[in-house]
Amino acid sequence: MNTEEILICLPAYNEARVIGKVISSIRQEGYPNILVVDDGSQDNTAQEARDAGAMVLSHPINRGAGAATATGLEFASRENKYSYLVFMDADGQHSYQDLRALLSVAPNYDVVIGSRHLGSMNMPFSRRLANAVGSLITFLFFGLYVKDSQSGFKVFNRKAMHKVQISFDRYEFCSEIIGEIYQKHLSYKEVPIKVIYTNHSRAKGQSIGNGFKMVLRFIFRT
Amino acid sequence: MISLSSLFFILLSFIMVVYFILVSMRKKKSHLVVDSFFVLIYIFVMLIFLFPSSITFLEKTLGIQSAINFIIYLSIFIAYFIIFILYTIIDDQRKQITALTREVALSNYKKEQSEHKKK
Repeated sequence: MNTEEILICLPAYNEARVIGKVISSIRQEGYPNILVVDDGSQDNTAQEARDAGAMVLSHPINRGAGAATATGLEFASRENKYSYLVFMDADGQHSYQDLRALLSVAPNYDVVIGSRHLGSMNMPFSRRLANAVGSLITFLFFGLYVKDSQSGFKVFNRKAMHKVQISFDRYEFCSEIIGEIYQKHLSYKEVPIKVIYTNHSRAKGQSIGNGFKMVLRFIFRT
Repeated sequence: MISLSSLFFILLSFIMVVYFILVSMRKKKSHLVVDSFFVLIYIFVMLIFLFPSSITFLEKTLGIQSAINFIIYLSIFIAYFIIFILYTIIDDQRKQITALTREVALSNYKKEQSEHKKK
């Protein structure tokens, strides 16, 4: 697979401490096209990303992970020169070995989802519970059950880049993407991934409280 | 015979109906459901003051014990409806802000790229 055809998108909010290292590691792995969507960070995230050699789109105000992901999708669709769009977390919790595993199956599917629930699990219990609730809510509202509906590690091919539309600004977008896969008849595969949890990454991400907010937002919006 | 206070409420409701219709017609993008709802509410209030016995009919039809209960139920329903409408309006605005934010980010990037090329 030609790595020039792959765009790696990192939606980021206040990640100045780690973003430079994450970008350098991805570049060292041989992926030159890295896009950072800085979601109105109050620290130096955008500058750190630029210095590390990434393309940077800066939201003037914070709109949430869903909005930043949708901006990455919009950028890739408008540029229309990338065959694959990869979403990874900007805090460095995803492994680059897994990136290769996801990309190896990407030619056969429209969307590849990195699943933390397949293979060996090193996830804290609270996070596992929040994800299980998230997957159940996703199934109830969108009709498709995947093991890890809340994963931020995904690969989209060109078809999925143009078809998937995200309207939720916050963490509900993960469930919405699963709904889009189902409604737009996109093929998908879940591939096991490992997640490196640090104190920095644990402070972010899904919680049970987010699950309740998700349900309320889905009720009002669906 | 209509009392003075009833006449006051009938007139007030009539003014509100006219006001909502005029405002709805003037607005470029009106919320038809919201405006119609408020027009219907004020027409309903007008009818109640014009025909006070109609509320007794409604009480019996809906199986509500007293007029006061009926008014409380109706108020709760209206309050929920208003919350729903406000949520819809806020959500529309949220979408617009996000779309604007995205456009600003994308156009700033394009500008940066073209300036970089010029250099």
